[in-house]
Amino acid sequence: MKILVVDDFSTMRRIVKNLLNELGFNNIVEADDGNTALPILEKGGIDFLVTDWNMPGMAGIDLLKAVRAHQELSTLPVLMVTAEAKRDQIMEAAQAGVNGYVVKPFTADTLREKVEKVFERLQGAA
Amino acid sequence: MTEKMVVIKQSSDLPDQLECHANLLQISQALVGQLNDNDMEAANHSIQQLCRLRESSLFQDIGKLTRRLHESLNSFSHDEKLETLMHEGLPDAKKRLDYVVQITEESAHKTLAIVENCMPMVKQITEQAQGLHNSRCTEKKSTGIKVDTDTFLLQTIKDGKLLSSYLTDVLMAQSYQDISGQIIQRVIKLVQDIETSLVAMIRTCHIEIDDNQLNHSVTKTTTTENHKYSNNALDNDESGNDKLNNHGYGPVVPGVNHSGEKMEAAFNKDNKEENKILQNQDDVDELLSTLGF
Repeated sequence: MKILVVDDFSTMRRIVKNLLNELGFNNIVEADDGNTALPILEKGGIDFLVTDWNMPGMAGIDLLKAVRAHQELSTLPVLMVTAEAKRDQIMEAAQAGVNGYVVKPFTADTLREKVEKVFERLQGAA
Repeated sequence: MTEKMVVIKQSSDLPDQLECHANLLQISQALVGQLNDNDMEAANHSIQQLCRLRESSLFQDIGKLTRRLHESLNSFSHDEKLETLMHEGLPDAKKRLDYVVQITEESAHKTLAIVENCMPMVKQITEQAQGLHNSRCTEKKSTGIKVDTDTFLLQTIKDGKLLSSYLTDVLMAQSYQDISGQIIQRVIKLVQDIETSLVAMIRTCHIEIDDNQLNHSVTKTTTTENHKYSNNALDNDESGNDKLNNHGYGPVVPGVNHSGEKMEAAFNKDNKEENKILQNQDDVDELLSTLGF
């Protein structure tokens, strides 16, 4: 499984990458905002997207909407990992079709739980 | 026109209130006399004089205000503190904050690198100890391996798992750099906005500004990270809230107003339910569960 981690802070990308490694996901690529992430996604081969919300250029919510509007990417599982914690934002992300939402600062267990939940739900739906 | 007509004293200096009052009294008394004498021409002239006196007083007040404003603007434009603040203070503040973001980022990466180096070693030691222990267990019956070796291996396995868990905690602790970095970048954006406003105000006061210096100081400052809040990319939304288009409100800071209202209100008594800031992952999960997640 190939995972794309999108965050403008390289420290956070590195943390998420290490946590995913611990979960057994070793094929991880990185991008620093929606604008750099989208071409990677369009190239194909990404099975799971983990994205921040607040980034320069294209924000995570816009990336999510672009993914859902894209014919080939519309079913890609997306986990949002962000410091944005307003009710309307979470609702907006949910309406845009996010598969999971983790607020920063988070624990390793929270990320593990949410990643597992995303895949459980996908398997259940399949 | 009779000798009762009064000549109002015109002076380039502003007449004080007493003088104004005396003039009014003098003209009014003359007016009464003129009306008593049925001298309408003189009376009309006196009335006109009263009106002019009134207008004159009004204009003088406006003049005073204008002069004060002019003096205030002049003193503002010659305020060295303001110039120092604009040319040195604010750019320095931005550089300092940028530096904080930079060193915390470097420090976090250094820690992360150490943790990344340790993790596979811990994993390997734990796995090797486990393997050795398993094989010793099978051999023990026939060869009678010393019990203390097994104790050591079991302890190594246990410690290895614990150490791995500690390393994950160290890893997670470095997430402060992302949160603090986002908060600092918001302050940098605020400093930039203040600087831009000051520059505009100083320009209004007709002070010559070195454009090169200005461009240098107002231009987006740099760190090794991308800035979330560059000068032009993001603007405040219509409500004046912190939210910058789709770029969000940034991390929640205790005691800081994120929604244009007091934080207390935002947390507890916010009239607009959609503006409510959720406190933790449990609140987020609860909201999502109501949406069918």
